[in-house]
Amino acid sequence: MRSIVIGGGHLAYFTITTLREIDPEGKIVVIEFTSEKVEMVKKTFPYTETLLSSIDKVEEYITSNRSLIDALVSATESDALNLKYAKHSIINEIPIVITVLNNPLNEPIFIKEKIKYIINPYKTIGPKVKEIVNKFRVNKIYEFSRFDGGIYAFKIENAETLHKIRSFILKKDLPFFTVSIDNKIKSSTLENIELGDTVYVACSDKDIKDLLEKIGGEKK
Amino acid sequence: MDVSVVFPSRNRERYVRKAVRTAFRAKNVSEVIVVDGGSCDDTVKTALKEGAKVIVQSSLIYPGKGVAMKDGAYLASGDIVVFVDIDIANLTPQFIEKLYTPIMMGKAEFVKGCFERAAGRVTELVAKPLLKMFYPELAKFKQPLSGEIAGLRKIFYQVEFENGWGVDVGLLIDFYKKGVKIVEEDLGFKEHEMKPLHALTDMAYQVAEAILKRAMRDGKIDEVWMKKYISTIGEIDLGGEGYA
Amino acid sequence: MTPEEYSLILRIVFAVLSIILSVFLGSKLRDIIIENLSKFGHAFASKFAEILRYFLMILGAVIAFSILSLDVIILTAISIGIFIVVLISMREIFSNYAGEIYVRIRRPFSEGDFIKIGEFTGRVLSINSQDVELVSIEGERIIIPNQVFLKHPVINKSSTMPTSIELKITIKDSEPEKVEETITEVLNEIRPELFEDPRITSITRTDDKTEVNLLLHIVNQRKMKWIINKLSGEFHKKGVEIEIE
Repeated sequence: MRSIVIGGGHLAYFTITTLREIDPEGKIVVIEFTSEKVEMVKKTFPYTETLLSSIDKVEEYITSNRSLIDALVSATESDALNLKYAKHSIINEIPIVITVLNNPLNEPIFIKEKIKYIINPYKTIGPKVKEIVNKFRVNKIYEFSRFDGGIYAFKIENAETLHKIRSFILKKDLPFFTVSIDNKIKSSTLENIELGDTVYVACSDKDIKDLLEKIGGEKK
Repeated sequence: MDVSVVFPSRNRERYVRKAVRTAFRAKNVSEVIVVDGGSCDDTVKTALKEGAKVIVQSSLIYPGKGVAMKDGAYLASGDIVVFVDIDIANLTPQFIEKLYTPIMMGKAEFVKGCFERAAGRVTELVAKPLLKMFYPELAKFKQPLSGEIAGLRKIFYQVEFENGWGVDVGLLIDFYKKGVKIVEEDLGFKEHEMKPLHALTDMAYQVAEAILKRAMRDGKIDEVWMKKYISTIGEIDLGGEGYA
Repeated sequence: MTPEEYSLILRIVFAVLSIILSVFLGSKLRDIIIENLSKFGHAFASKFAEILRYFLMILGAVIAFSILSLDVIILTAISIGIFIVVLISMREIFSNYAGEIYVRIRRPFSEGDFIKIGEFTGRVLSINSQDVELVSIEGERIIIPNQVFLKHPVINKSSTMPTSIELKITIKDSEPEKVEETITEVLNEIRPELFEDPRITSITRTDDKTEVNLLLHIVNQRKMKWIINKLSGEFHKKGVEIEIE
């Protein structure tokens, strides 16, 4: 698979490592704007093809290679450039276009511009804090990229919540597992869920919204 | 030639509607970009409602005027990019047109705006003396720190942007060094909020830093002497090797 | 002023008020609908809101005529008649609008997805009020009227990216024992462009030729042409002439 990574900073570092892991035989082209970073990328990731480009030449590169590029990850240190390159790639019908945000506040702007795959590296902060502090009712701990859904954690605080969660899982036939108050993973049977447990359920956002309305919990 | 107008902005809800509308009324303006520095008010919402493209600064540092300008220049798609302060009370379409006209006419690639008023305190006491010392060719500019500028979009891709208040003088020096054709254009009277004196300390520091960094890069300051000098006055980050 | 004149003036005032109220309510309703249905696409929400606004305005006019004691039955009959004629003459357009409503609400696919509808396969470029624009594997632009989505099942292949492609390579006048080795070498050359390792599914030998079936997985469908050219070129470099189907 031919992947293009634009940018050679820290966002690109994690992107390149993952792309290599997904497809060790694939081709990864890194486009950077400063010679220092090009040298660094060459040394750190010798398996990549590294190009030193000027900012305004990237769009030309995408257009002229549009038939060959499978995935493009825009991971520069400027969200303005990330947005510009992602939009250009979508117009050029690149199959997979991913942007990595520098500033999470730009997420709604990118969504409005119809960028489908947006990676917000800061999104894990909230769920992690909730998990560590251990004071939550519902916590979205993983968000699916391809549709509106994820893995939700529910803390079973009272008998009513326990009853509703059990019926919800049963009715929707959802995959789940339970972690007990003393941090042990329990077998996935509804009867095993007890007060104080945390139940992890994979489901759509819409289902969760309906459930929360029933149990009167927080929206997210 | 299409023109993109960029307004760096933070908590400027009361100015944004008028600024965006005025910019769209100027001839040849194809897009207006508001680069937000993390506003707590409705600056972003109002800008979007008025049809501006909006992006939030890639990194929220204060002061981050340079970051905002860089994002604006990078998002722009017009042949010419015009930067204007959003809080100019008497902003008119002609004000914007005046800024880019020398470029349209082929007389310049970069235009620095100046105004009918005495230059600011940081300009007179910091920027001008340092420019006179290291870049005397640029000392003729009446307001080297003016934020009202216009340039061919492509030239902004060739330079490094300072993050803070040093961005304007930094761009001026860098464009000059790259042989870009620069003119200063009198834009008339500018009704603008003045900063209080205490707020100018950081600004003066960053302007001085931007000029000194370039002077060192261009071999106008002896690096060894500078290292020795700085060690006597404490820590100053000039961004160069050995000074961090 | 006679009681008749007074009554007429009063009726005219109420009739005008009825029209003003319907226009006002229509505008308000439009704003509310646009705000709440924009998640299904702004253009769709605007259109839907406009239709309802006109409906309210017609209703206001009918009430106004009724207040003025004009013959509402004839007026209503004429309106219904016009509506039916318009509906019949524009049934294709309405059908396409219905298709758009289905696509927006049911969301069987979204822009950027790779879909199969009837005999057509391609990536969705845009969803419009009358049609959906696709780009095929060969790079052709295909316009599908929205009503088609009401009549045919849609297969959204986005979740199963990449696409599998079967190729049949016919190699003439070659030494059979060297064919497999040559193919492996050539496939190694194109491997970085593929999603995963290519597979040789079968090798059939006859007197004068060898037929090789390959299974390749690619993400960018337009890469197909490049792969075929590359395969031909690589075989040619090794002095082997091939035919690809």
